[in-house]
Amino acid sequence: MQLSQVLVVALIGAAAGFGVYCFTCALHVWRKRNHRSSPDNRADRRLGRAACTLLLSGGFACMSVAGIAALLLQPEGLLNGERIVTVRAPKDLQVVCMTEKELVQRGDVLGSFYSPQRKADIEVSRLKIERFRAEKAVLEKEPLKPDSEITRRLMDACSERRHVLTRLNQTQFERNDVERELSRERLTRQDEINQLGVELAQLQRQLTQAHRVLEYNQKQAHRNDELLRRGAATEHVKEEWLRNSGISADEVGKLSERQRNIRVQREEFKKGLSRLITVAEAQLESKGSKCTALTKCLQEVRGREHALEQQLQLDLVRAHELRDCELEQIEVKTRQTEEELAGLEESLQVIAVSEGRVLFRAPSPRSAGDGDPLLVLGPPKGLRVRLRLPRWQRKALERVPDVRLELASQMDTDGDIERHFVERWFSGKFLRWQDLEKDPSHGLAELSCDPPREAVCCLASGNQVFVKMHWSAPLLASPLFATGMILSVVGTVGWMLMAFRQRRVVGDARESSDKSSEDAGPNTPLVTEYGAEGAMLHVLGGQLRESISRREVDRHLLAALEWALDRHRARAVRLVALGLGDEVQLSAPLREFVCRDSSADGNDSDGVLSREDRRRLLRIIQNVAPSELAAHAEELERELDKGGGKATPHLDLRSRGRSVPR
Amino acid sequence: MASSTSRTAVSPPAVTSGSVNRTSVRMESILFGSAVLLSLGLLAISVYRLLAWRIEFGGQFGGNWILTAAVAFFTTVAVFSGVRWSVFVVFSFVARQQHRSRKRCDPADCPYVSILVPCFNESDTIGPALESLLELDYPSYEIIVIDDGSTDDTLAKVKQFEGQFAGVTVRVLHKPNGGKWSALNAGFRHSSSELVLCVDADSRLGRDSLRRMVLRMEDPKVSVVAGQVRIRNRHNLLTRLQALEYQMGNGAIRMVQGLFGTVLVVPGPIGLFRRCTMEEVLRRYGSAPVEDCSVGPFEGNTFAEDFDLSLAILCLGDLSVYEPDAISYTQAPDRTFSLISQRYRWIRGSIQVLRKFMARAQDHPRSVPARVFTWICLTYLIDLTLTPVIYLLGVTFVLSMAAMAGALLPLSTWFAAFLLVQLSAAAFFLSIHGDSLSLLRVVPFYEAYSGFLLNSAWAISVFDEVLGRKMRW
Repeated sequence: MQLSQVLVVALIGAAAGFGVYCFTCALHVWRKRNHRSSPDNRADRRLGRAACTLLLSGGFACMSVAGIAALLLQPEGLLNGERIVTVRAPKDLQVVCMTEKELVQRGDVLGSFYSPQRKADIEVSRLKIERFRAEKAVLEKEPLKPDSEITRRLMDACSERRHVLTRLNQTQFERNDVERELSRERLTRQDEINQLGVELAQLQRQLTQAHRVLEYNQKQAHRNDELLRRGAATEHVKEEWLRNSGISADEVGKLSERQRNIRVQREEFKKGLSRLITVAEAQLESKGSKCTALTKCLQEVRGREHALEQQLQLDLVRAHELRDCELEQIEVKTRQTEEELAGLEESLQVIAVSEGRVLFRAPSPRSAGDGDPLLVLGPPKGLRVRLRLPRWQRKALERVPDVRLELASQMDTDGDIERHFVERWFSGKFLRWQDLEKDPSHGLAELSCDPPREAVCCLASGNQVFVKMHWSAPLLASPLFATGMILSVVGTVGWMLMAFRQRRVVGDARESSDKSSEDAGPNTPLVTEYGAEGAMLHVLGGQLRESISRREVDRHLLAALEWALDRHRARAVRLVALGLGDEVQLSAPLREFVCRDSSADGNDSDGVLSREDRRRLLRIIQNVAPSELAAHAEELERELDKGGGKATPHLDLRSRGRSVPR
Repeated sequence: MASSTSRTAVSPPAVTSGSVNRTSVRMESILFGSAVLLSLGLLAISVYRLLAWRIEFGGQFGGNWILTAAVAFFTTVAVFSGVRWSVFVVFSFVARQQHRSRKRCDPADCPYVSILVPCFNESDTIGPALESLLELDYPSYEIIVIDDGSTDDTLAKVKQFEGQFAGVTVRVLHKPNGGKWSALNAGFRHSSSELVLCVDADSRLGRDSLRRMVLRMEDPKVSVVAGQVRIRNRHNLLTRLQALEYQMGNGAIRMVQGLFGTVLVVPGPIGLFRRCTMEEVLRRYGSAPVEDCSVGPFEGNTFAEDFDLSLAILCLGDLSVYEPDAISYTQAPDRTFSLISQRYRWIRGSIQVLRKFMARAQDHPRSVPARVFTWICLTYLIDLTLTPVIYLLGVTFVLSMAAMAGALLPLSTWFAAFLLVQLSAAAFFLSIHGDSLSLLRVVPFYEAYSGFLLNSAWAISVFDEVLGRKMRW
């Protein structure tokens, strides 16, 4: 606890103590001034007062303890350096610049350094990468390299296949040509044969027709002979007919001759056709056998070629794999060089690996020593402070927008503790709460905060930083304070109820004492009940009694009695009557005093009362004294008035006094 | 106790006058007045700092509304105190300057004065009081000692002084106990002069007090002159605080009120009245027939008969002024109980008088001057209603801010500035009242005294007054 806190506690304690002292004194004065005794329930009141006092004291004690505890107990926690990134000053490097941003995104440059040797290495690495990339491009553009023997054999097979295929095609073409010639010849000859057949048939029909014309002409000629014989026809017509028959007979002979020629020609064609077919079939058979041989050869070559193609395919896969390996090898070399380059560049440039906020920046980075923090990057929402707090403070802490924190001390890696911070105060904000299973009355509060740079530097150096929280939950939330308040309220209400009850009891007691004084006459407790004033009034009654007994009534005494009756009314009537005592003993002295003085002239001289003063005395006695003495005083007053006195308005003080409300 | 009292008691000084003394006092007044104004400036700076702190760091604490209310409260108190003390200092300085410029009284012009000394069981103090009255630097006056039914040997001691002295007549009256007001009424009835000086039996007047008060009566509009009451027994912290209170509180207020002729309370230990005015009060406001021997200008229905009579005179339209050079050295309660009891009487008496005044104002609204009503509002209503609430709120806010650890640090500047204001104001008023500057030592305790002690008396008296409890002297 700091000296200022001790001072504050001492001052507040002293003020509170003085306040309680003053209030106690005032309470004492108040009780003394309003003291009323009531024997009936005194024990109950004492008990009640003790209970209320106990409750009040306990309540105030609880509230005080809660307040002092809230004032003194400041929870201490640990500033957590999680997720901070520290940029340190590297060896043999010169700082070029550090980032000026407050909020840094991922990939931003945090700081740049310079070294000639590393710069040259970077350039070499970059050239290497370019070379590798060129090699890779060349390699990618080169064809695959299969096995040359397989390729040669495959090429031979291919040429052989093509040769055989060519021969086969040629043979087949020849065979087809033969077949086509054969077919064409066959068709031509068959067409000629058919044409000869048609011509033969046509000749046949002409021959037939020529036979029929001949027959017709012969018949006609024969018929003309008969007609000519009979004379019906002329010779000319007969000759005509005979010439026609001759022409028809020539026509028939010519047609028959031609028919024979065509038949011979037709037979010749048929023989030539059969010979042609025989020759062509022989050729076809020869060509077919040759094609068959070539086809077999071709199949054999194709099989060999297919086997070679498969071998070549396998060899191409191998060659492809070989090239991939070579490309990958180049890629690996490239990456290796890139990594080397990145390493070199990273050694000269620090890149933010995540977004964050710059919490610390070395004021003069070029003069920082080796390993000193140049820049500390923290989480965007600030660092965390963890404190152990009572659970009842949780809701209050959650509602508080900001909490004031103070850097208490730092502990380095050797365990040494230092307490010196220039900038100590910062604020924190409630983040989350974690209940402690083995400590159910407490919990772990986590606050997000933005600590001073000095503390961040300490955290970056690996030290532990302890933090004090200068915040107290509202006292109303404290169970102890709430209990104290309840006790105080109960105690205060108890006190008020008791005061009200006491006031009512005192009022009842007064009424009862009034009645008892009227019924049973004066008594000594009545005098003491009214304290010093009661005693004085009682003494005043005694003085009146003694004055009447000594027949020496003073005007001052009368004035005092009048004043007392006027001021204290019924109380004065009762207490003066109490002091007056036995009325029987006063009747005679009173008559003697009044009569003696009435014999004198009304002027007041040498202690003799005037008539007016005697009337005042008798009026006082009428108001104060019991009935018999009052009646006696009334009778004396009438006598006094008869004796020449001037009557004054009668003032019934007793009735006035009794009419005074209690 | 007796030796302590005699060692630390302030004896009435001889009349000292001279330009050197007055010049030094004036210089002191200017110096201390400037200090007050400077302190007010510091108080303003502290308020500015408090506001700046609230804006900058206030959000770091819980219970924002409490801090806002606390800062608003302390700002208001600073403004209120600044205005109050500025007004007091400026007007007091003006009043003091006016007072310096008045001519000194010629004894030949001094009228006959009746000094009323009511006493009740004042066996220990009445002798020195009468001796101081007999030593007054005044040509002709009478001293009327009214024994209010003392039960000790007061009457016998007073009887020793009865008789004729050089220009001074001492008369002794004896009456049954009826209270101070009745004794004063009895003395008033037996007095014969036009000017009536009322003093307490435990008070001792300065030698030229009467002469300086009578000088103020040259103005026919002035009917009442109030003197300076100074604590005689300064043997413990309590009495020293009362001495400081009499100068800083009562003296300062009366100084300003006297400038406007509206001294609301003419103190019982020293107050000079015109007989005609008192009789006018009796005729106009008396609650009993004038022929009644027990009645007079002082009435017994309140426990602050001096306040009651002062207000009644002011209601007549007359002026009441303050004479700081007329000093009455009185005895203050040196125990806490007796002090609280005394303040209980004063506060209840004040409330009774104010209630009576309000009833009177309702009955005769035109008879109450506006300046009286204004000063009552500016002083008594503030003292009786606002000040205790301010203290209560102050304690509450201080404790609240203390509960928020660290929040008291900015407030310490405010307290320091406030203490500086009080120190300079106390120095100023002690200087213009000619009192000892050694009382400045108790200034740091003054707020605790007035805040806790006097307000505790205020609490019980207001409680009883609200409940209507009967009160004993």
